[in-house]
Amino acid sequence: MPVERLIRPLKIATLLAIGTALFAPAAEAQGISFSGKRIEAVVPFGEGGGGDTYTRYMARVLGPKLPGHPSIIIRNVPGGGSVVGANWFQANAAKDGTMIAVASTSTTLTYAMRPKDPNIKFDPKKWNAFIASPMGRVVYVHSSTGIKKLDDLKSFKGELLMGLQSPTGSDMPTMLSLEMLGVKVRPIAGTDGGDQNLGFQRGELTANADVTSAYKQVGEPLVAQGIAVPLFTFGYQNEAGEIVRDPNFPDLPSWVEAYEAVTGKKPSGPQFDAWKALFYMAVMSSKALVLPEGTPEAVIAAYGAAAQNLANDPEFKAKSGDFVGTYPQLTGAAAGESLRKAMSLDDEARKWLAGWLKERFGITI
Amino acid sequence: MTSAFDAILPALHTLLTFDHLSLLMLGIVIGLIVGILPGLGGVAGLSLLLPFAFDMEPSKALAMMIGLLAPMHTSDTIPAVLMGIPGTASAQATVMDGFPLARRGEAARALSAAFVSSLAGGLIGALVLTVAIFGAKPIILSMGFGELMMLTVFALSTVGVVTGSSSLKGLAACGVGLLVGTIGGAPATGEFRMAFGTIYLGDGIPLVILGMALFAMPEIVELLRRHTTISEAGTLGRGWLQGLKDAVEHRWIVLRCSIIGVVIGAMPGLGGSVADWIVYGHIVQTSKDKSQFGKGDIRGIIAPESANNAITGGALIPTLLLGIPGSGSMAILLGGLVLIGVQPGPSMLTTNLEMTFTIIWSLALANLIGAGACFLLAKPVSRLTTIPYGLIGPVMITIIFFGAFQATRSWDDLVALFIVGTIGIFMKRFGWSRPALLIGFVLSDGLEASFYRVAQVYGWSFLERPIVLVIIALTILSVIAAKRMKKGDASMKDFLPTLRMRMPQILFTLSVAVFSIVSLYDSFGQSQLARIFPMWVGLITLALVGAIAVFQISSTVPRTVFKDSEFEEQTPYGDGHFLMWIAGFLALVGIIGMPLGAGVFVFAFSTVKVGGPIWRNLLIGICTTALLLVLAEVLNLYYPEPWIVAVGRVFG
Repeated sequence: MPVERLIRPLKIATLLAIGTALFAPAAEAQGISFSGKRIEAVVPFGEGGGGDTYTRYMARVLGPKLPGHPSIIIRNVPGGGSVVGANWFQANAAKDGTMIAVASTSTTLTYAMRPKDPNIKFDPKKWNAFIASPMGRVVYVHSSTGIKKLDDLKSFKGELLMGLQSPTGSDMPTMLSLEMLGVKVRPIAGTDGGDQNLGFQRGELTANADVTSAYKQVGEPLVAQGIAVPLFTFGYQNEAGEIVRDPNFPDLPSWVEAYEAVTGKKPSGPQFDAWKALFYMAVMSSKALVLPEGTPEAVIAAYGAAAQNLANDPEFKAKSGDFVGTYPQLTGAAAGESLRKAMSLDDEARKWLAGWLKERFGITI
Repeated sequence: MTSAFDAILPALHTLLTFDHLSLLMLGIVIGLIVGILPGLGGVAGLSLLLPFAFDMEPSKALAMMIGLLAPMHTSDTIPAVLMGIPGTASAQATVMDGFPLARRGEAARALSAAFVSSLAGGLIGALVLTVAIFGAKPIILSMGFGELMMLTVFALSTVGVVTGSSSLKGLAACGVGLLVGTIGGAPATGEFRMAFGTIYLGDGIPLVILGMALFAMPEIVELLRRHTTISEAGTLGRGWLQGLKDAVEHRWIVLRCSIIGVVIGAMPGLGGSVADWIVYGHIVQTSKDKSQFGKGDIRGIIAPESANNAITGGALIPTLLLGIPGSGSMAILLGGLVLIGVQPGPSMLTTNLEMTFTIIWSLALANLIGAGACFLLAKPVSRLTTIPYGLIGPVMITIIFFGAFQATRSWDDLVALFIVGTIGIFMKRFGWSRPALLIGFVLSDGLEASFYRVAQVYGWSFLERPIVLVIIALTILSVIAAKRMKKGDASMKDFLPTLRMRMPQILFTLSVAVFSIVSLYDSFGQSQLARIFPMWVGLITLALVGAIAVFQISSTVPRTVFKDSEFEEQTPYGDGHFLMWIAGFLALVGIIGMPLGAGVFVFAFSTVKVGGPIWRNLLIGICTTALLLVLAEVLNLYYPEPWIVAVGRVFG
């Protein structure tokens, strides 16, 4: 038998093997497959909110990217402003990759602000984030205030009325951002998103903020009608680690720019540290999907690869804007880094924030 | 407007294709089921369907989702009338007269009157939605914080018609409801009130649990005590044709209450669980002969049923027009719309106009089909009221505990229902108005938050707004009407219990006083913003309860504050006996798990209380277990981990 005939199939086999190794996700090579399995995504909120919609969308598009194409189902565990669900995930999550969770601003904010609360039994610093979705925020005021552009804030002597759901909730960073610019804000607490929007449209409230996707639907029409005047965005952190203009709103200054323009100084000190921590929580890792503590490296790698694969998918890029925002998705190690940064509120900054909450709302945390 | 007419018929045409109709039917079937099962509602149903909606064309997904929402408030009447269990929160007022009618053996009549009113309400809701979508925006925007606060106060004034024979006790019950509503995070500051360090109370007591604890549990226990059938006559009495005639006869009530329902639904922030009470109060106040309300007046069903089904049409107005959901189900519908690529907002009147009409047609069609299905069901399900209650009772108990479990899906829900249900049983026994407590509870949060908003944004100047003044006038009229009604109701029994016989009710009154004091004490530890509301409500409630206690202890003449139904009607076993059975059920759930524990409980109860044949009791038990297992699979539930599994794990 000629040697060549032996070599040829061998060649094909080698080529096939190399091809498989090149094109298959790394995980499958390590034997990880979720074929026929049901993966649960824990949402620590009730059905219908932002965190829920985000997770439902991601579950839908992420499933086909995972090895074995599992279906991902949603388990809502509401209560305690995400504390109940996060505790449940920490205590009960299977560590083989069949259970994931969403960590959103409420979860990170609660964790960062209440380090000594015995009810908090979860540790998101130990969770393994595999995709983090940034979401920008735009702050705008009512045209009845007479404010027409950012510079008018310098001479603005009045008071802005702003609705916020709770002093320690996700609206708080907006109020703090305005106050740090030296603007007087009268918070109308206990006012949730829908009421904030309607109150603003009726002119009863004069300041409001929306996340990017909501702003494009609700805020921009108000700007077009001359009711709302956009002032600044929270900004966006670029790869060099600087806070720059939000790529979705290149015409609007970031908060850092706004601070310099209005006060004439660069932001610094513990109050800037506090603001930055809130910025990471609210914008850079607005929502992240995580695996529990103790998940094997291979599983984390499989999820990281799937997330990367998803983020590069042209169809995802084209269609995902309404659900996850039109920002580059952070995957794998970058996602974990972003989530950890979001919770790195140092003691001095926390003390400063606690003092501010005490002064403005009379509450002790 | 020409564009609107261009879109109406194509939308109907699309909907009438086989694909769309079959998905609409699927939605309707699931809607009917989640409406019947207490604790499950639009939120649970929609989240069940959302995963399938993704891959569909938007118009098909819409047909399915609206198909689910529309018939829910028609079928939730079935458990409300037959068993006194509100199937969803907006069927609470239906229980007031619906259940007494079932007890009189007129379940079929009550159900068919309810379904016809419900159908009319749903269709009127769809009709108003069609018109309002083009012109409602300025109206919605004219209702500011001040107007919304006064609407809440107006809703609160309906308490006047449900206070029962003692106004003092009714108002105190409402005060207690307001206080119970303050448990959990304070709206202005997020501080925890009366949570005693627990996470569970930090979110407040869930509405579904309070509803079942106050209405269902006391009725179930009373029926078990009397050991009869639900229908006291043991037969079905006047049937469904009569109900149809009733609804036609009261067609103006149907129309009026439907419109009120649409309006309330369209106001973001008031919510469906208030609408049924508002129209109930309205219908009692505007009726000449009020003597039968609460005892089985058919108008007491027709009114809330027309309103609660019209709400869906109303609630869709702000959801579609402004992208602002008015309720939990609307919030998830909104999420669903975004997921299928339909962006609510002004575009619903322009580029998405055909979608808007698909929604409206689906709403109308689903109401027709849903009500038709319920109508066919009315007669057969009414037979449940003629079965010995010893057989249905235990199944009902497992169902209400399953419903309670949906609140946060934890063991705490079961414990909460048991504790609050026990309080509900005492309230019924001692004549404290349970609807009054519930109305206070439902409005508490909104009242506090809106009061705070008005104080911050307007101060007293909110009184300069014309709509506010109109609502204030309406509120005053409503209070006067409620007072008038009381005068005609003064049929005092010539009965003065001895002090020994008074003791149980005095003890209950004192424990209500203790609750008010605890609430007051807790408020003193809060920041000023979190304190004001519970402090004032606590003080007023305490004064009312104090007055009741003084009368109960010292009175030498018969008074309406006296009531103890255990002395009025002796039965072989008291409430305590059946509470022990329920506690036993919970113990079983704890040891061997919910599905199995429920089955064993049902079998044991019916065998002990009704007797053989064993095979029948066994069959009911197995069916109960199977039902709970199927529901767990469909809804993706974990029941509380049973003790034996936990022990088994420890020993490997």
